[in-house]
Amino acid sequence: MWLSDTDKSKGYAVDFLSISLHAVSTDPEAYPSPCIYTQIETEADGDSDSEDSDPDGAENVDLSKITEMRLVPSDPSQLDTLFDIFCECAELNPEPNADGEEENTWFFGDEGMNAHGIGNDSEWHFSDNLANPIGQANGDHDLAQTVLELHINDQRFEDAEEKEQQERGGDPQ
Amino acid sequence: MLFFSYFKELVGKEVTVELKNDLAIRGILHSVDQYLNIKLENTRVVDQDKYPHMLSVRNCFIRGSVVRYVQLPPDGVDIDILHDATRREARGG
Repeated sequence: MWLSDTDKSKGYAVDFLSISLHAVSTDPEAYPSPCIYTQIETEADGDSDSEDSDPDGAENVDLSKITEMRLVPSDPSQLDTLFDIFCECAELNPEPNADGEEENTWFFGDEGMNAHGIGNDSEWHFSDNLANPIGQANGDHDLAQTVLELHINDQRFEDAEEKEQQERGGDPQ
Repeated sequence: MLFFSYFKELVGKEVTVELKNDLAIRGILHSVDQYLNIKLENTRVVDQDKYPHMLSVRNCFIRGSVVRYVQLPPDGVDIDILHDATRREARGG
């Protein structure tokens, strides 16, 4: 879904719908630099002998075939922000068939639901901005510039892209 | 909504989330949303030998659509309340 590169001609496009899991990874033994670890769900992932007609719908995915992606920001202090942004983006990209009638409200056990009135929409302000989620996420300009050159490569977010390009002085693809 | 309401009750308890890719992650349920996206803290992969990739990860966000099972703590299951809730839900539907 977005690209990160100094070389504008290269990059990855990963749809948020296919990011099944993301996490902050800080153990140098797992990876030399602190990074955001993600697992990508890929349906057309190689093995041609898989049986699509399995009546039980049992999915036996070879763990070695799980696609992983690590995002390594140049500034590790931005990791948590990036993680939060991933969370927001995942929420803002629900499954296409999910009914989106209700506002999304997380429940935090330690915040005291009586005091905060769970059920009203005040907890997550970005839900006001559903029409332009990526623009919102990219609104953290420090992050966008120091960590990643964010480019949205998805038609659904054309508006966001235009906005971003305007803000940056408009560099064409 | 029943599951959402129920999982909200489990916040702060330890659960094991099994994903559709067979990875199972145990952790403290930090939060859940209406899509059943799940945030876990103090995570550890159940079968670390088979799946060493996430040793370094201590908290994670799991997309609700990739969850196959959530294994619950025994004391997090109040059968009476669940009975009532399911009956209410069935009536409402």
